[in-house]
Amino acid sequence: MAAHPLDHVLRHNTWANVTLLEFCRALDPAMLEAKAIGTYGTLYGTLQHVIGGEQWYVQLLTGEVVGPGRVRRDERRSLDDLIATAKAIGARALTVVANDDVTRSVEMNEGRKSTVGVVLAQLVHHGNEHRTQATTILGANGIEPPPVSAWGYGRAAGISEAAE
Amino acid sequence: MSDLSVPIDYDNWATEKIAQFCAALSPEQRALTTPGTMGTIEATLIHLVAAKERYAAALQGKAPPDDAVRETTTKDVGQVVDRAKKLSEWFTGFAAGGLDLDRIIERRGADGGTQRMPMGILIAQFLHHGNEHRAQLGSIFGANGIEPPHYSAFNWGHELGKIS
Repeated sequence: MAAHPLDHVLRHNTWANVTLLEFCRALDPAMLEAKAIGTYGTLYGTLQHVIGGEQWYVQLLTGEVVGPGRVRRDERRSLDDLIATAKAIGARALTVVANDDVTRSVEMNEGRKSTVGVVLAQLVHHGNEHRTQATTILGANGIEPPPVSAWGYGRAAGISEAAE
Repeated sequence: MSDLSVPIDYDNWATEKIAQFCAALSPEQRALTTPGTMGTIEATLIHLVAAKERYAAALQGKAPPDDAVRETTTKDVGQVVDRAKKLSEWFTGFAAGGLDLDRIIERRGADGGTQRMPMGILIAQFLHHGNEHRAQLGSIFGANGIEPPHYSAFNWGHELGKIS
């Protein structure tokens, strides 16, 4: 059976999250408090926001809090915990697209409604946006960031020759 | 509508929106940057659209057209806005068609060699790349006191009336 059209897009998203989180786990922990002007916040806060946001998007689609527990802005989670949550979210997102309808209406907060497709587009946008902010923080603080593009994902998966 | 139409239509909207926003800035503002990003506002915008030209060309198995935006030669931001609109039209038609995501695409790499990848990887990269460089532009705006445009997928959904 052919893969779902969003399969590589979502697999790249999960791979990039895990790659970035594992890279940051190996840094001096003090670096997690680094910032760069014009971005979201600290490196750690940005990473936690990426995963917390995706957890909420998948909850909108499934009604489930995926992973070892809800990621809360005011609660510090280990990077190991965020990695486990990122993997669980990625697996659940793949089952969503395999079985759901992008035009289906979903309830959001404050009585608003959206569609499955818009929530998925937001999940992909949000991950790329905040990973970029994280790599901007790394670069601004003299650390060469890990490659998190889909070219990198394709090479890591052994299915593509493309490079930057 | 294919499931890929949703994130591709969002990319078209967001790229056009940010291109128009950048074009309305003064030349001095377009020369601004911030550490950790790829360069100035103008260089980032040109790269964003020039890369989109190359993704479209690779998907069609041909070279970019003569009037394509290129990092090495493009100086006219108005041309960038126009090409962003034309690329949106092409990608909208492309996404609406039947897509064979396993079809092998050939692309010339930065080293001049030919790279091969499944179409699904190229599309994941195209979506990542747009989000990445729009996020860098957002960081430059924020770092320089420019109120950025709202270009998330939720903003897009709201504008289209898909979020009520």
